[in-house]
Amino acid sequence: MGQEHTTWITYDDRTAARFLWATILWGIVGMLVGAWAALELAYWPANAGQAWMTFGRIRPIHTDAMIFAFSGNAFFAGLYYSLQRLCKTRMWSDALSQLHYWGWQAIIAATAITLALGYTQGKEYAEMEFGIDIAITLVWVLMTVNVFATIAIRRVKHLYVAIWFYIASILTIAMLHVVNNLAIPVGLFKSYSIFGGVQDALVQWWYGHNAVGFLLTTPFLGMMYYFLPKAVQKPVYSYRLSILHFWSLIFIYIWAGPHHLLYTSLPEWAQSLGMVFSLALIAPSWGGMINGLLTMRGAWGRVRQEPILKFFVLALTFYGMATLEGPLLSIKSLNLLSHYTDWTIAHVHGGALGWLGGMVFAVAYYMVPKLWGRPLYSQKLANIHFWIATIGILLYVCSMWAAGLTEGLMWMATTSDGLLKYPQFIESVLAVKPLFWVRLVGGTLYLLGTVLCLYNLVRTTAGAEVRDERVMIQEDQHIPAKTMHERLEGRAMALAVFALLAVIIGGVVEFVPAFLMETKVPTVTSVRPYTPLELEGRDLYIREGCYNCHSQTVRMYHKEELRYGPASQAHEFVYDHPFQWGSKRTGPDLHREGGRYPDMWHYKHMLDPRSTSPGSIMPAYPWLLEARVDREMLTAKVGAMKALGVPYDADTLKDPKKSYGDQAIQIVGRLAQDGVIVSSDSELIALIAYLQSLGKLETKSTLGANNP
Amino acid sequence: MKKDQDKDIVRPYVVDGIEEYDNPLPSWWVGLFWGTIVFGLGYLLWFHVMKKPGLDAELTAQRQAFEEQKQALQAANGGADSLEQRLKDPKAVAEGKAIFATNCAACHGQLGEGSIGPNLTDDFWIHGGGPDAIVATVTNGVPAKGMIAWESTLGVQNIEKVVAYVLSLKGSNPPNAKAPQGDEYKD
Ligand code: HEC
Ligand code: HEC
Repeated sequence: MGQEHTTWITYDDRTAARFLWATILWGIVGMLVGAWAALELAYWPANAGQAWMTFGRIRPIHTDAMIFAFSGNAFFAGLYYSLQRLCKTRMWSDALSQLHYWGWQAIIAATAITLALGYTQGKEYAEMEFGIDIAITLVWVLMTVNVFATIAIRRVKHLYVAIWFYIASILTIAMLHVVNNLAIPVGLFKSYSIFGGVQDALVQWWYGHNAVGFLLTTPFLGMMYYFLPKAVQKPVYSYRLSILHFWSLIFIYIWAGPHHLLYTSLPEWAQSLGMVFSLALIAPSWGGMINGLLTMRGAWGRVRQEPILKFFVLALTFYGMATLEGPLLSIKSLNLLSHYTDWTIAHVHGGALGWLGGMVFAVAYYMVPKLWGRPLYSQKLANIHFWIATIGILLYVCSMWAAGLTEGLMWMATTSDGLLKYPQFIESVLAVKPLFWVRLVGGTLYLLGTVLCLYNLVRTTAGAEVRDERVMIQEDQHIPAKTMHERLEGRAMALAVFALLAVIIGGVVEFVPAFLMETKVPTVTSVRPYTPLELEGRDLYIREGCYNCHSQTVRMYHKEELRYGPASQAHEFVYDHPFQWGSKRTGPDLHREGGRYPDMWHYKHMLDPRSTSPGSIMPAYPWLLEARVDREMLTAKVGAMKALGVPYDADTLKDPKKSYGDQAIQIVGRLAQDGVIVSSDSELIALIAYLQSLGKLETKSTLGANNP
Repeated sequence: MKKDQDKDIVRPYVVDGIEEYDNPLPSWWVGLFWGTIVFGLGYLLWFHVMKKPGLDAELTAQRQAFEEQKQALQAANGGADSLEQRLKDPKAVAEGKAIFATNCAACHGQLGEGSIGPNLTDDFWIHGGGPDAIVATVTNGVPAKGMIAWESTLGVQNIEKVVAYVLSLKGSNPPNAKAPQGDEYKD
C-alpha cells in the first residue's frame, strides 16, 4: 500500500451522539405519553378533566413522537455515525448538521405543544399543522443536501448497501410528506387538506403506510447492514439478497397503502392492488430478516452474553413476524375481521417495540461505548433491559391480539335469526377493558426498560466526552465494476434517480385513475356541503381528535350495515377536507350517526358519556359547553372550502354567520324543549350539528342552504 | 453453478471493515418471492378482468338473504297465539326486562319513567298505545325524532318481548316520571 496516498480525517461524532441522546430522551417521553393513553382507555378519568390530556389529543402526540422523535432521531444518529465511515469522509457541512439537529428537536417540541393545544390537521401521523410541516420540509432539505454532498465527496467509490437504504428513505419520506400535507391555510394554526373524501383517504394511507415503510423500516434496514456485521464481526450473508430485497422492497412497499381501506368505497381495483402488493411484500421483507439472521451464523453462542446481539435477534424476529402478519391482515376476508380492532394495535406495536425498539437499543449499546471510548457501564443491566422489554412486548402484543379478536368476533357475531348478537357497541368495550389493563402493564414494563437503558448510558458516559474519531484513510483501491449493479453502486445520483422512480410508480398508478374517476361521481347534484355550523362542528371533531377512537365509514358488508346503517358511498365524502374515516373503532363508527339520536341525547352524552352509555370509556367533554365559537373565522373557513371546490352559494359565502345562527337556534330550541338552556355560540351546539349531519348530506335541495 | 462453489465467497469491496459474502438466495425465499407475485397477478386477472368486481354484488346478495330470513321468521312468528296473548306471557315480560335494560333504558329511564324519550308507564302515547301500534313504533322507530328503528337490531321476537315488558309497566308510577306526551289511550 502506498503510504503517499493516506490522509487523516476526523469524523463528526458529536452530532451522532446528540441524536442518540435525543432518541432515548424523546423515546421515554413518547412512551410515557403512550402509557398514559393506554391508562385512559382502561380508566378514562386519567385525563384529569383537562382537554389537552384527553385521549384524542395525546394519542397523536404519542404516535408522532414515536415516529418523528424516537425513530427519526435514531435514524439520524445511525446515519451520521455510519455514513461518514462508509464514505470515509467527515460530513460535508458541520453547520448543516447542527441546523438539522436543532431544527429537528424544535420541530418535535413544537409538535407536542401544538397537538396538546388541539392544533391538528386531523390526518393520522401527519397531524402537525402546516407551519410545522413547512419547517419539517426545510430541515429535511438541509439534511438531504448535507447527506448528498457528503456522498459526493466520499473517498469510497462503491456505495455500500446501507447507503442505498438511506438514500431511498430520505427521498421517499420527502415525497410522502410534501404530497400528503398539501393544504390551504385558514389562519395561522389551521388548514384544510387540498384532498377530500376518497382521494384524501388514498393519499393519506399511501403516506401512512409508507411512513411506516420508509421511516420505521428502510432506515433501520440500512442501519442493520452497517451495525450488525460490525457487532458480530462477520461478513454480510448475501450481497445478491441485499440487491434483490432492496429494490423489490422499495418498489412494492409503495403500492400497499390501500390495504388500510378494504371494503370501503375506494374503487375496488385499488383495494385489490393494495392486497396483492401487500402479500408480495412478504419475501422482500423477509429477505432483510434472513440476511440479518444468517449474518449471525457462527455468532449465536455470543448472543447469550452480549445484549447488543440479543436486541438484534429480538428486532429481526419481530421484523419477520410483523412483516408476515401485515400481509396476512391485508387479505380482504381477514381484514374484515381485524380492521378497526386492537389487532392493528398489536401489529404496529410488534413492529414498533420489537423491530424498531430492538434496533434502536442494539445500535445505542453499540455506539455509546465507541463514541465515548468506554466500555458499557453494565452488561448485566443491559441484559435485564432486554428481558424486561421482551416480557413487556409479549404482554402488550398478546393482550391486544386477544382484544382485537374479541372485538372482531363480537362485532360480526350473529344469532341464528341473522341478527347481531351484541347489538350494543358498549358490550365489546366492556369485554376488552380488562385487556387494556394488561396492555398497560406491558407498555409500562417496556418504558421501564428504556429508563434502565438511559441510566446505563448515562453511567457509561459520565465524566467522559465524545471524542470525534480521527482516522487515517487510505486511497480507495480501484476495483473495476463487473456487473450493472456494481456500476450503479459507483454512481450516487443514478442510484438516487432509480430509487425515486421505483417509489413514484406505485403512487402514480394508483392516484391518477382514482382521481380521474372521482370527477365522474355525481356530486354537485346529490350531496350538499356542510353548513357553516356543521363545518365548525367538524373542526371541533378534528381538534378533539375524535377520529382516534371513531371511524366514519360503514364498510360494504351486511353485518356492518346491521350495526351502523347503509354502507357508505364515495360521493358522500366529497366535501370532507380532510376525510375522517379513522383507523380504529374504540368507539362505534359514526358515519350514520346523523338522526340516530335526538340532540338531547348528544347533549347528555358529550357532557357525560356514562349517563347514556353506562361503562363507556369515552372522555367527557364538559368544556365544550362553556367554550364559545369564534364566528369571525367562518368567512375564511367557508372561503377556503370554496377554493377547494366546495359549492357554497353566494349568500353563505358572504354571510356564513347568518346561516350559522339560524341553524344553531333550532338546536338550542329543541334542547330548550327538553329543559336545558344553551348558548347558540356554544361549541357543543356546533358539534351536535355536525354529528347530526353525518351520513345526511345526500340531498337534492339547494346547495349551501340551511338544511339541518 | 453449484451451491457449494458460491458459498462464502467474499466480495472485493470492503468498507470500514465490513465484508460481504455473495451467497446464493435460499430457494424457498425465491419460491416465496415469485409465488406471491404470481398469486397477485392471478388474483387481479381473475377478479378484475375475467370476472366483474364483486363487493357490490356480494353486498346485494347478503342483503337479500337477510330479507328472506326476516320474512320467514315473521311468517313463523308466534304460531297460533294472538299478539295480545303473546304479550301477556310472563316469560316474555321477564326476558323483555333484560332487553329493555340494555337497549332502551338510556333514553326511557331504567323504570320507563322517561328522560330523552317519553315516559312509557303512563296512559299517554304519541304514536298510539295499542299493542299493534307500540310494536310498530319500536319496529320502525321515529327516525326524525331520535327513536331508533329496532327491527334489524332486535328482530321481531325480541321486539315483542320488550313491548310485553313495556306494557307491564303501565300504571307503575315510577319516581321522577316525565310529564305525559301525546294522547290518552284506553283499552
Ligand atoms: C377514548 C375513545 C373515545 C374518544 C376519544 C371519543 N369517543 Fe365517542 N365513543 C367512544 C365509545 C367507547 C363509545 C361507545 C359508548 C358510548 O356510547 O359512549 C362512543 C360513543 C360515541 C357516540 C355514540 C355513538 C352511537 O351511535 O351510539 C358519539 C356520537 C360519539 N362517541 C362522539 C364522539 C365525539 C364527538 C368525540 C370527540 C369529541 C368522541 N366521541 C371521542 C369512545 C371515544
Ligand atoms: C336514543 C334514545 C332512545 C332509545 C335508545 C330508545 N328510544 Fe324509544 N323513543 C325515543 C324518543 C326520542 C321517542 C319519542 C319519539 C317522538 O317524539 O315521536 C321514543 C318513543 C318511543 C315509543 C313511543 C312512545 C309514544 O309515546 O308513542 C316507544 C313505545 C318506545 N320509544 C320504545 C322504546 C323501546 C322498547 C326501546 C328499546 C328497544 C327504545 N324505545 C329505545 C328515544 C329512544
